[in-house]
Amino acid sequence: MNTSDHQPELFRRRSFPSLPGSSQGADSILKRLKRFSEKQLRLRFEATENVVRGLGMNEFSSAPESPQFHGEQMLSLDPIPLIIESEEWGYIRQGLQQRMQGFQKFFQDIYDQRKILREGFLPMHLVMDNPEFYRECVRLFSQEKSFFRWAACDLAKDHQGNWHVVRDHFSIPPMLSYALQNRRTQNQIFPELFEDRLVQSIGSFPLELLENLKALVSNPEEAQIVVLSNASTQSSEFDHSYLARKMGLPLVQPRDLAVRKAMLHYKTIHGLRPIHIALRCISSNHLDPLTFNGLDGTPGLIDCLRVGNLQVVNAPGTGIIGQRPLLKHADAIIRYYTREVPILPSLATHLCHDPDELENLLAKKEKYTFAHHLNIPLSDAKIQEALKSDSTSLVAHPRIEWQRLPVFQPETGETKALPFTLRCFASVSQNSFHLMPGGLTQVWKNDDFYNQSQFIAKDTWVIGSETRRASLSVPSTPKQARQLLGSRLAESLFWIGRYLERAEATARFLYILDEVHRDDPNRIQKSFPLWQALSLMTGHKADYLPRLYRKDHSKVFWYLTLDPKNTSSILYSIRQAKINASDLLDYIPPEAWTILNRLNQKLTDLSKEHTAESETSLFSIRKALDHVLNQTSAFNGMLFRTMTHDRGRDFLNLGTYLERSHLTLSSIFSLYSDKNVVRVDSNPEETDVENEFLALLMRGFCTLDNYRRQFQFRSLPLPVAEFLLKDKHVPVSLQFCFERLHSLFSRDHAVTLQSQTFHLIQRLDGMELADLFPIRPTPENEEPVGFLKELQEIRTKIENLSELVNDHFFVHQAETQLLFMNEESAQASDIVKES
Amino acid sequence: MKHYSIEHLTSYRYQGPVSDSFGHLRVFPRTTPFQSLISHATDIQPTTDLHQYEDYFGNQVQFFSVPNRHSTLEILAKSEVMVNTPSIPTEVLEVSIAEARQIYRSREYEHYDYLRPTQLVPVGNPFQNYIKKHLPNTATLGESLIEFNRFIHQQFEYQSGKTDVSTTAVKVARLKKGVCQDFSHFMLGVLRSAQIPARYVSGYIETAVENPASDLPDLIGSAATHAWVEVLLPGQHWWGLDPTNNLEVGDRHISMATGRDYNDVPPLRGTYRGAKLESLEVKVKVKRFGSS
Repeated sequence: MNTSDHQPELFRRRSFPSLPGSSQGADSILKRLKRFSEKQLRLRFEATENVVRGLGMNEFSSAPESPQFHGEQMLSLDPIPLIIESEEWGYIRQGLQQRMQGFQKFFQDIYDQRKILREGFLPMHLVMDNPEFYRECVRLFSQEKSFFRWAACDLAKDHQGNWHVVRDHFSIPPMLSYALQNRRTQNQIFPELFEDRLVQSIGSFPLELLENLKALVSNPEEAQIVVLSNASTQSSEFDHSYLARKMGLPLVQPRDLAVRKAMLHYKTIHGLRPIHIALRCISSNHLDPLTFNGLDGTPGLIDCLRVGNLQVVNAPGTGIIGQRPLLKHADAIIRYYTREVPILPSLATHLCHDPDELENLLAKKEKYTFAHHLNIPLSDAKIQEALKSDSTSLVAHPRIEWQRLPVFQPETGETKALPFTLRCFASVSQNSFHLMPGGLTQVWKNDDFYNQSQFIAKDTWVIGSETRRASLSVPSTPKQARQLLGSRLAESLFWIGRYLERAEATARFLYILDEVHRDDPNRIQKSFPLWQALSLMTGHKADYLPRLYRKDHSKVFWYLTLDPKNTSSILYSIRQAKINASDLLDYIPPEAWTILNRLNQKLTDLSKEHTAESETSLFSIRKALDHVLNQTSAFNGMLFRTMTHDRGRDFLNLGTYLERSHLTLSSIFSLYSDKNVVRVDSNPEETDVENEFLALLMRGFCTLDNYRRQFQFRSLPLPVAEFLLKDKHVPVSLQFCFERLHSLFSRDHAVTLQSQTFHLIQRLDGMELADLFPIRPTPENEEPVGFLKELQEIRTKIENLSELVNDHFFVHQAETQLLFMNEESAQASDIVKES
Repeated sequence: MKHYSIEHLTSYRYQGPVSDSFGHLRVFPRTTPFQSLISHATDIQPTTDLHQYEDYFGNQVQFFSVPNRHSTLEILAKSEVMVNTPSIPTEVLEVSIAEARQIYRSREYEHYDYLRPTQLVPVGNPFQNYIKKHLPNTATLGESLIEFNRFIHQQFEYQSGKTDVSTTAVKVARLKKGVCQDFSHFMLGVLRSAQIPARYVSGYIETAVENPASDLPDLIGSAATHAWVEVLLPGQHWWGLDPTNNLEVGDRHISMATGRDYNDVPPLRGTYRGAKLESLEVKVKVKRFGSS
């Protein structure tokens, strides 16, 4: 019964002994590669590296499902693809379809009746003691359902031409993004190689998957779908965010979600939005702390699933099969559920936990390769150690002579033959099976690839005309997807805006102050008012910076620029901006991210180089200021050119203008309340001379020339105030900021906020400065009156505005508005204290 | 047959406002051949909806959420139950331990979970000496179990505060001190190491009998929930033993949930966001309506 002779043609095992596609494949590709000059080749390879690095895909963990392991490295892409002819591909497709059907039924059984165990076809412990078997998920779903809607299998080919399945991924199929991106990179860098070949395209696979997900709900047009990830490593972050982008879905983390009335919701700037389907890219037991007794996840998520208000794909608990011991029984499982002989055999596997079996294995040790049962790559030494002390964690596979693929060596122009595995991705449902015609080919340094994390990637070409499928049900008039901006993303953008504005303004003021100091180091009084203004702008008491300056001028520069401990230093602001940006890797263009990341690195390095000697330290501070001024402009320019001018962009601007209005107002308030700056008691003639403090202030805001053009007059208190407060065409003026804020709020229909800015604009417009000048001095210990009082009131209003923004867009606890500004600081806690 | 009413009140008081309280309750008395539920109502303040489902172990779980701001949370579970003294056929208590083991082996599928180690109840080495001494192959199953139950009661000191919900059976074996939960975990560890399937039971106990004419002793169970063990006997009978009180479980025990260890059956597992906990109070009142 097991021999393939008795099987109908469909199920007959076949071998494909020739090197994959060698007839018209690798050889001719190699010939074409050899036509390139050495220099051309080098440039192409560099270009590949740049693409890889630019995308942030250079680092990855080879096993996203096993959080213990974080092997990270540079990804390299070999230009010679793996080529598979259509006949051989058809065979693989049949084999995988059968395999996935079998395992679909396996999950349905294991999470319900467990007949396969009851009838003794599978050893109990493989399921019941499996850490990925979740009792919490048994009978969790009311209807018979597909446990996985997408899956991946790793194949390897022995030297006789037989394909073997060496690993399954039914929980979170990893690295689809790499397969897709490799094709794009290959296409960009070596377009010639594709000439004259009918290579099937793979780019539409994410959309196939999206359609497959939508089929889960009765009203697909209205379904809100998210990709749920926790981005534990940079690589899986790349993987998940790439997938989300290609499917046009929001990438969310558990803390972006909240359960209300047994319905999962996404916290967005428009309030809580219901979620119907979550594409799960986090381990099952990190979904819900209540059900899985942990601290990670969204409390109540599993209950939404249980009452049928939510679909999670792939279902929680599908990680059982990825573990190596199950591979031993995979063929029996397929046979049990499909009543067919498995077309693609699974790699032979022996369990080391059985003492008898282990003894046999050890007697013929050279014939086996040992591997960790949870797919954690182990060194030789670790394996030897485990064989002695912890053999239950190991499985053994017979040594197989695997077929090898040529890998191009750019240095010599020759090739080197290395073993490979092919990861195939499929989108599946009860009545459909779509195998992506391609995949991720990984080339390994030797046959023991179970214990390796470093590989060279190859593109995978399936030759043949494409079978067009009609299942992509495109609506006649595609509706524009509802764009939802998550509160966390909006908040991050908002803070990037604020921090960068603060950093840039601080840098500009310090630049001017340094110049003043260099001009005349002995007249330190001259810059006092400006130091006072900077104190207020950076959140200090007015006399704090002047005192520090008087004591040690290089120290104050250090303090505000590179002091890592000072939360008002430029370094701190840039670091905060960078931290916020790292939350947004799928949102802001990689080029802009690189600028910010490099700036932060540069400042951190300069800060570490700092020496006690004041001259050297000033030297590195000047360097730092230069960098900050250039790079923040570069960052903003890059964003302006490359980032979609959408809601997200609005929040960046919101942060910028709110911070700027605070800076402008604080500086004016500070200077105008200083009687050394605005001499109220002197006669009119004397007040008619150029006010050097106000001129410096305007230089600090880069707007002195604008002032001159506009007024063609000296810097005097009244016109300068007019200019900096009320001129709606001057980017640093208060009115300019208010009008921008007002239009941003109008776009979001944020009525409360809109009315606030409306009143602020009205108030400034109605402020007759001529009536308020000259300014009356504020006697000590008394509240300011007149002009200064006006300023102070506006300042309070701006502070309120910032709280309102937080409440309206970021925090969704209407009743807890000012108490919980930031939910992240709150922890989910276990309140169980029963005895 | 005894008729009980039970009031189980859990009150959380926080140092400040909290929000997003979510919880899973396992306070719903079981229905068994010897225990029937007459009524049950769970009331939560602030008021909220309850969803109910049956978990893997067959327990009724109630799920609630209080998303809005609050600074206290009160859960009052009121139940009325009828309890009978379980009747165990004497012949299954008379088999030897070796025989029993053989019977278990033939039906491994049914009770696999109750033989395996868990986080709180490891099996193996630390318990081997107890097996040799109390559960030898040739001994009679029923007698040895009653004897072992008494042994725990005599040798282990009831003392609260020495252990908590995360104390493992191995640590209890070392301390020889603890509360009902610890004694039960220890007993489970030994039984499972001896390949006798056994499970953890969470429930209530009638601690004192108000009728002064009664000669029934007061039982240990404190003012909160109680825990004991059920052993699987050949023929699929679950036999309750309460090592804390050196009792066979009779009509003064009311069971709520069963599982592999405490982690499967906490009366309340919950999360919330916000201020720290100020106080937690659990009050259980078990009242009997005249005996019959």
